[in-house]
Amino acid sequence: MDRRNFVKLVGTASGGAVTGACGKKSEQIIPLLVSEEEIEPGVEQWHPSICGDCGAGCGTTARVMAAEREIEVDGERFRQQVAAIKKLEGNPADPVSGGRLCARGHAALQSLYNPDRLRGPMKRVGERGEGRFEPISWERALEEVSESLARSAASDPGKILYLTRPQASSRSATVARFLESLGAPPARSVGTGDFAAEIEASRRAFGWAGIPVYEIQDSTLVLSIGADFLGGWVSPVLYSRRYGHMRQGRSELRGRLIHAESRFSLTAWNANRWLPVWPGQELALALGIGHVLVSEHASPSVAEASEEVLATFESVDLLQVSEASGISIEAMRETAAALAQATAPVVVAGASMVRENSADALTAACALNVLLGRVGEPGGVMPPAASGTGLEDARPAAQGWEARLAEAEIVFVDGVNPAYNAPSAGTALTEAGTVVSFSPFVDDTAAYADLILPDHDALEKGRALVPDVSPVPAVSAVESFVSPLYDTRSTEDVLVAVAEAIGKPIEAMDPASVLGGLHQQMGSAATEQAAFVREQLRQGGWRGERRGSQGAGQTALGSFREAGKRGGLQFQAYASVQFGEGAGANRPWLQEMPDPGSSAMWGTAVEVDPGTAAVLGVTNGSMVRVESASGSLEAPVYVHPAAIPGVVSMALGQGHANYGRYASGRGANPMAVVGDSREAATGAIVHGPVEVTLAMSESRGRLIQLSRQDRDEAPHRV
Amino acid sequence: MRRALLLPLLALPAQLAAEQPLGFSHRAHIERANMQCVDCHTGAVSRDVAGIPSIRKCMLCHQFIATDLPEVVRLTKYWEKKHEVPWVRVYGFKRQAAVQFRHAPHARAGIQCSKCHGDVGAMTVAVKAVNHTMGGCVSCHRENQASDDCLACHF
Amino acid sequence: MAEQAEQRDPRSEQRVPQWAMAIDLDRCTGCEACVVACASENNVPTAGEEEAARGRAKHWIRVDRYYEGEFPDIRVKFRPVLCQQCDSAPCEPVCPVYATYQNAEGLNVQVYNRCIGTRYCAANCPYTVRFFNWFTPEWAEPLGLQLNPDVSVRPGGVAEKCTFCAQRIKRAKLDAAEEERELADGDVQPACVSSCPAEAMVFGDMGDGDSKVSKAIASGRSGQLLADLGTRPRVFYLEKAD
Repeated sequence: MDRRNFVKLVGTASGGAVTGACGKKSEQIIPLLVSEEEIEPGVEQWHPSICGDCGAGCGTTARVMAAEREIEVDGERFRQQVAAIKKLEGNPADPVSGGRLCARGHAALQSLYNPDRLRGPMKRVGERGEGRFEPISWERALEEVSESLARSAASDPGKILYLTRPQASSRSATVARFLESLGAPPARSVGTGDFAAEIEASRRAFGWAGIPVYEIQDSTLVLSIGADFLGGWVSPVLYSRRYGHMRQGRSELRGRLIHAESRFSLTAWNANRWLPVWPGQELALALGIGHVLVSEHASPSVAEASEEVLATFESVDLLQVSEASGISIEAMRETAAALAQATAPVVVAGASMVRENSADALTAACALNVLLGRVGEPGGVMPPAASGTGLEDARPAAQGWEARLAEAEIVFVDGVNPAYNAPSAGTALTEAGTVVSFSPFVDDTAAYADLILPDHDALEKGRALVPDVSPVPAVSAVESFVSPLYDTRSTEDVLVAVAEAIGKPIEAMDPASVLGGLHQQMGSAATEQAAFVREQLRQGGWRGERRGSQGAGQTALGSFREAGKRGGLQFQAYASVQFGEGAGANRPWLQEMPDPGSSAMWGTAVEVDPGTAAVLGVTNGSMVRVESASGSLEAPVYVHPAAIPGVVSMALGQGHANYGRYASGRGANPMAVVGDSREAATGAIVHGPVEVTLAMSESRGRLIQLSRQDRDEAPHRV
Repeated sequence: MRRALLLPLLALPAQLAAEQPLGFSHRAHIERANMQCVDCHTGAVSRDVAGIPSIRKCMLCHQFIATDLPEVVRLTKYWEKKHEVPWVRVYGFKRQAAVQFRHAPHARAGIQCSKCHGDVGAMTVAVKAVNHTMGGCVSCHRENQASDDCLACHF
Repeated sequence: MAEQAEQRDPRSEQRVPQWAMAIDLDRCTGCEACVVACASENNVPTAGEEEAARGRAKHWIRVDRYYEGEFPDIRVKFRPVLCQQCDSAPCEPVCPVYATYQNAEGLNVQVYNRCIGTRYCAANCPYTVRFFNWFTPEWAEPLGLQLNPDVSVRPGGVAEKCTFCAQRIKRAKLDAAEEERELADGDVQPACVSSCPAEAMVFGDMGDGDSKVSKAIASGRSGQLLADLGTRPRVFYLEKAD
């Protein structure tokens, strides 16, 4: 690397020139690698990038400026000028972010500059799970991986397991090629971001492949069943933008929001009406509302629905679903009437908290759009906008990795943390054959790895990615623009090297090849391919035209699996605004960002309703022990004024056994109590509910809140 | 190591008459080579920061020009070791001053380099000819009807 | 609403802008993207667990939330709170060293190197948006690379607060001057405003009747926080429509 830059400099007479320093941000986006020689102090450059924090794949821009860092070379300390990323913002040209960004998106910078990043490859020296490693050279590490892989490929390629994120990207396409060349099964996704139930429901209700897109910005009434779309579901930036427009973007027209969820999430905060549905009974609620629509609001669209759909809703016993869901018949009637009377209603079906029957619940919720005639209509629900790149085919699915984990001869863990998100994975990882992690950190799962081959940070890499939802066909594609800070290697390059070493060579998919393929497929003779690729990279990706509306394909609801009724206290885990599924916990900005509901910093609380708290004799900050059949945890209480009586919630995020100085050993992981259950149809990780007992605990702990005041008694003082 | 050009850590503090690692002569470059300040301090007119040139810039010429001068020989040694020259900064504000200075607007207002930096063209190794005090800044701002709001510089 | 006599810059003879912000609470979702965007832009140090427990966390912007009613008829009222840039700022007269004052553009300025750390300003601020640096902040390497060179890192012993992103105002002015044009509406976007996913925040010159912020302030839903105190804030909240 150094030599190349060195030679380049000597070879060019104009070294040091920087293009487009002034003017508007959008005009000065520069897509090429800034070598440290080409950046002047005090001059900002903006480069297109992609947020890798969740599957929404927001297009971003990164502000790059000269900075100095200290490094050690042969025992001597030096200052070194580097091109540093100073700030992330949304890319205005991107249809998903529209130039905006969420809290986690901003904090991606603290993944790049996290002090606990691995400086190079590591080899385990302690027991599995202990987290003790020593440095190893890349050459030696790759040799070891290649040897293990060659053995597995020769004996039983079925025992090669690759766990990764549920993204449709150049990365997942490269992984798919890698596994295919080995004859190994496709990669599996781990974690809630897979939206497996949403995808399955979309297939059943609409006959679509992928996550539907809700046009809430043009709706007059939004009913959300289980989708906390303002707090992190699928694409919080896109849906927050759309929500803002729905409320105040149209003259004379203000859309209304009814939100059904078993937790007082951000979406519930903002709703005109919150339907506090009993956890796991979202299906009952959707069926009840559908029943009222069919039996009491026979509109033309209802009449057009298929017999199967009508039959599904007609047979519902309203009293029974009302009792199960905790939502009164009256509230269901009012909601159905509001939907029937609205000029442009839409029902958003999501499982922010995945249940055992989420695919069924979401299918029923999606089918409400069929009853309302809102499929493919403006302000209704639209099919996913296929990017045309084919990357979607490589988006890993959730189903069925657990059983294979313990028996696997070699396990690759790439961008996911099963030991955190699926508690039993830790035990299975102890029994698995060779475990190879690509994590840039020693996280909960990497602690079990035999070898850690740290990937570059997402901000240091070029890649192409299809957003989970996009208003138009789109693929984000960027090239790397800063040099990696450390002796890390791109996982795509590692896979290519390993495949080569064992005689099963593959070619990596990179952003330019994704765009090149797209150009070829579009058959546009107007532009030369290289020019097309260059131009799209400059803009951070390609965005197509919005397609005309498209109605539903085949609707095949199938039979529904009703959730069993449960008594006693119910416990559920949820992905939080600040930490998502847990990956945000090592970023100090997010640790110190107050939790929206509880105002807690540097810790997550067990959210208990006031009645239950009174019975237990606990107040804010009291330590409690939460116990289920699967496990237990101890954490401070937050007496949540809006918690459903008898429902205990806790955010994912804390309770990492290993994840650097800001996250390790802090607080508790709610999955320990939720245990390991899976969504019946898709295998997605379930977030509860489980029945629990609560008891006061003697253990030490505290709740740090920015504001200890829940009520506006002394106005606006914290 | 990945990157080539390194600066020893020691060379940080500003000094009144800085002991520089090389006997660089500003005069020779201005008078004999007929160069402009901005040829090396590229940001002085159009950017926030004037900038101290990298050794790469020096070597663009000194690979070929005056290669036998003793100071150029010493310069070449840094180059061969892939080290930056650890220049000692002559001007600059302490972090505690919380001052934000931008060169460009001053150049645009027609303020000559010498107003704040003295006649560097007549110097060999640069010395601190002008003391950058708040009084100096404020009186010049007032003379030129520039802002004397604290926030013009302190943020 | 604040009324300002129109002022002109003596040199350029351009009208001096009167900065103001409007936050539409009917758009705001409470997601706190602004909170992190601000910390990133303004080098706001993270206090850490121990200091946060002592009430020393610094949030130049935060989201206040108050619950109203009881389950199931419960609602939450919330709003982002930042320095209100008051025209009659309670923090100003109590500073013994004039380290805080209102400038011609209506900004409530905190001069770090003049501040001697009495903390009177923070004590007298009814919005609790002023913070004291108990220590000189440190960043574990390489987190220091995230620091914005356009913004001073405040040393220990001084007070700090939201500046309406003074550095962005400065840069927008310099860019406009370089391009020989006047500052246009929307040229200045503080970090919170440019980040806001729901597009709830508008920033601009309330002295220009055609600016977006002026129109928002005139929308009929506009009010000021603790207006009865007579602080005359430059931050306007457009209340929720129901």
